Amino acid sequence: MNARHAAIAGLLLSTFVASCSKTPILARIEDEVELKDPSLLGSVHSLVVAAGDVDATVNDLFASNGRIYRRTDGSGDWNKVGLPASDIRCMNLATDGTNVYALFNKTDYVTFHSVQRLDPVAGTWSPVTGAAGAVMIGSGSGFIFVFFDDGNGSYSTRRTTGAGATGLTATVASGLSIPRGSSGGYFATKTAIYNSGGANVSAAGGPTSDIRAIIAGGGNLYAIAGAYVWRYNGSWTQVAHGFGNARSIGYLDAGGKHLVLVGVDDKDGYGEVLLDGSGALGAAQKPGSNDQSSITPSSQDQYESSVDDLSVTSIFAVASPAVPAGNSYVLYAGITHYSDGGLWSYYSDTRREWNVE
Amino acid sequence: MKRVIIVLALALACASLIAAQEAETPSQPGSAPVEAPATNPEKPDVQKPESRYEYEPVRKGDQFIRLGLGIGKSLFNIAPGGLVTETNLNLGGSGSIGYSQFINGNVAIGAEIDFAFCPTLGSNIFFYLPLMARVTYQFDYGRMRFPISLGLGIAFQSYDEQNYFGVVGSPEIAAFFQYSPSWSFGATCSMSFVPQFYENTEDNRTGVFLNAGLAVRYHF
Repeated sequence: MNARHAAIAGLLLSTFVASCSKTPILARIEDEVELKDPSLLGSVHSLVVAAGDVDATVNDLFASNGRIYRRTDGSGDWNKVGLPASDIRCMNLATDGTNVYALFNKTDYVTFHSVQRLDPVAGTWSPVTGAAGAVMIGSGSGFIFVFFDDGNGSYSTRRTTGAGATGLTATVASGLSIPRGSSGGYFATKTAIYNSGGANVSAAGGPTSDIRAIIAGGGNLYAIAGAYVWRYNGSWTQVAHGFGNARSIGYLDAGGKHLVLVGVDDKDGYGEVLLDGSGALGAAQKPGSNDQSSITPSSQDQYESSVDDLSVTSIFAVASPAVPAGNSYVLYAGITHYSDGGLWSYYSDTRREWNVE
Repeated sequence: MKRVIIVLALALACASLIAAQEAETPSQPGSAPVEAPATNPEKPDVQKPESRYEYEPVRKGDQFIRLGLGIGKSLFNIAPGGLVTETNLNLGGSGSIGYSQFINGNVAIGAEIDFAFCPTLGSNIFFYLPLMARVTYQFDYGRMRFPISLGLGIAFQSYDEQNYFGVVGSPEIAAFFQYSPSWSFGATCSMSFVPQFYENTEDNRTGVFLNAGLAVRYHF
């Protein structure tokens, strides 16, 4: 064998060896599913569970992509909810645990219009007084947070005065950095997390920069800050998630699953952080890695051929009773994509695949 | 006696005319004219060589560049457990550009670059780009050419941000009409065998695709 033959043999061998370490392609394509016609297109940034019909049970879903849609009892079709005016768009939704509130801007998506509370039975909207100039609203426990831009990069927040109220309290906190969201009795800004009374709870051992989202669940508060997922139960702990550009957070405690879900931008799907029975942070993992995952291991290839390569800008875990019969939970994700963007979902039992909702 | 003399004179005249005519016309139709016998002893006796023409549609050294466009459909995947007919690959497209040279009147060797893509059921795209050496045996009938060829090479494959680099094989049959000495036009039909091997052998697959298209060849 001369040098040329050896070079050719080496090239072929290296080609074969390199091939053996790649992710399967044709096998994965076999696991693809046909995408359904979308119910909610565009950027779905909000999804809340509230009492949305005459039975007054907190099992109705409301989602917004600029318009507002309702899924009664968490099953069946998504139906459009009439807005209080034709020349406005919903910027985000919030719930006090029972009632749905919406922040509306004009169709330029910048100019404030109103914050209003929905009467789901009558289908009418009631303005929240004192909310003029609000830039964001967030869910709370028995109230919602309303955030204001005070100028010069400074923000403040007020709360509704009670469940279903359309009035606001005095300022809860001011001099805040840009608000990131709220959940339970907490709200977050880019640099701190506060309780409903406006006290900074993250200053002592918690995240102090690049906070992106928070969610309350199981008596704990979880936050994404940079490359870490944090847990707060009076004291702070953290774990590196390794998911890249994390943007949104969800909490799943149903069907024997106990997880924090992390929606990732830049076409990286979502990730999971395992929780123990007390809610303590465990290992980070990809969906479908084991039976503790939010999806079954047999669904992993289908996930990887779909959501895993899309940008998840929002992620929600909805548990019984706000799910279709036969399921213990449903995962919803707001997907940003030029053709398949919109609300996607995974049903724990009746449809174990990620598909367009 | 006068009559006999007149008849003999006319017969001699006719014989002279016939002899003169035969001397001016070729002895056989299609053959080279026969030159008059040399009367000058200083000129050599010149005899033209015999020529023979035989038509050869393709000769050694002939070359051509081929361009093709067509459609491609996955037929099935060969998996460790058997054939998988639900490949979830939809009808796609393909194209090729290649160069070949005849090493005799029937056999050509060359190389080509192809591309092919298939949309998938889940709205993704499977794309592969083979780079192959191709051996062709060509039959001729009148102005029709019937090349049968086999391509072997390597293929870059891509799907949903996943890449793979492996081997590829592609037998092909085709029919071309020789429109002019420089151009021929025709149709092609080929199969592509695209194997993929992985550490987990359950994921091993050989994709089998059927391609059909139109092609043009430029001969030089």
